[in-house]
Amino acid sequence: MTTVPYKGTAPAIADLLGGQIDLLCDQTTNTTSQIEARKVKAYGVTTLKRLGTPALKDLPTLDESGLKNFQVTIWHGLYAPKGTPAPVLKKLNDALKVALKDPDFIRKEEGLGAVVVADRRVEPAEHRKFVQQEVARFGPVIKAAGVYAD
Amino acid sequence: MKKTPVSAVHLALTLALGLAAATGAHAQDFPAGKPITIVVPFAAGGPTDRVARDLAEAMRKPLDGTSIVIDNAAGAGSTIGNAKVARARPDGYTLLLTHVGMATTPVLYRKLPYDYETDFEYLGMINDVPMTVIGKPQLEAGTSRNCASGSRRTRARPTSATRASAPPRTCAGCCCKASSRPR
Repeated sequence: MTTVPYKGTAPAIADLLGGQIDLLCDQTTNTTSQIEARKVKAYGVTTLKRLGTPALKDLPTLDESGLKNFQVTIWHGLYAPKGTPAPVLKKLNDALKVALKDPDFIRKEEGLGAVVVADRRVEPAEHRKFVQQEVARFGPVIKAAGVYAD
Repeated sequence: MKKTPVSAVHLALTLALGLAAATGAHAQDFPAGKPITIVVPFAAGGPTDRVARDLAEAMRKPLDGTSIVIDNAAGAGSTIGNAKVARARPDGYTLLLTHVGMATTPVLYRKLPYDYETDFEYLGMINDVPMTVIGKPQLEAGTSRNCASGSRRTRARPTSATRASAPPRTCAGCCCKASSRPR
């Protein structure tokens, strides 16, 4: 396999549709509409559980396809500069929690194949721990690949 | 009348105390009607931008209806925007919304102008966006098993198999590295 780095998702999908490249690994945010319209072939999802989004619910996980424990998601988080006063952080975290329960927000996210966080990772300390675990998980893979961005 | 050094010191002290009082008041009254900026270290219209705009809309109400604006500070694999927030005034009016790059850039970049562990307050996680493996419409393989074995066992014309990695490049790259070395 030859890896082709693209500057953005839009040109990569355009080339996939045009047949210049064979495979693409990208977020559901970008691929769901293409899969739904049957403009591309879909092979699998990178989560351990199959997805609930109607267009994606029949897609097997890579784990069940033979790549055991394969799990990669493009998670998103919210941060503030170090030293932001504690009462302000509390208000922002409270607002974040309200937003993550907003039915309108959840519906928009589900439409994109995204799963809104409903576990303890919405807590600042838990999210910090999770990010450290992700660094520990990706670090060795990146180092083994010897691919650096600078 | 000529100003004496004493009055200059007095003025500075008064200003400093006033500023401290204002900051203290801000923490309690936050956001006090002032707009909040969420820095997105990626281009407008992209997937992370979309999450930010939808989240801003949902966070507006619990923040007393204050306006939340998105600042797309794209470039250098998100590290420009991250650095911008690391250096911003820590008053809650400048926030960062980014993705898994928060965890991959510390390894992908051997030199960063900020420290992901010590330069940020973590507010919490928003979502998990799964990735999908998709193929060109003409691709022969029909399932992911075929797709994976096709590339390994010379099934679907493997020599011509090219796989693109779109941003976050790093993740797609990891995805593919990992797919040849299952964890």
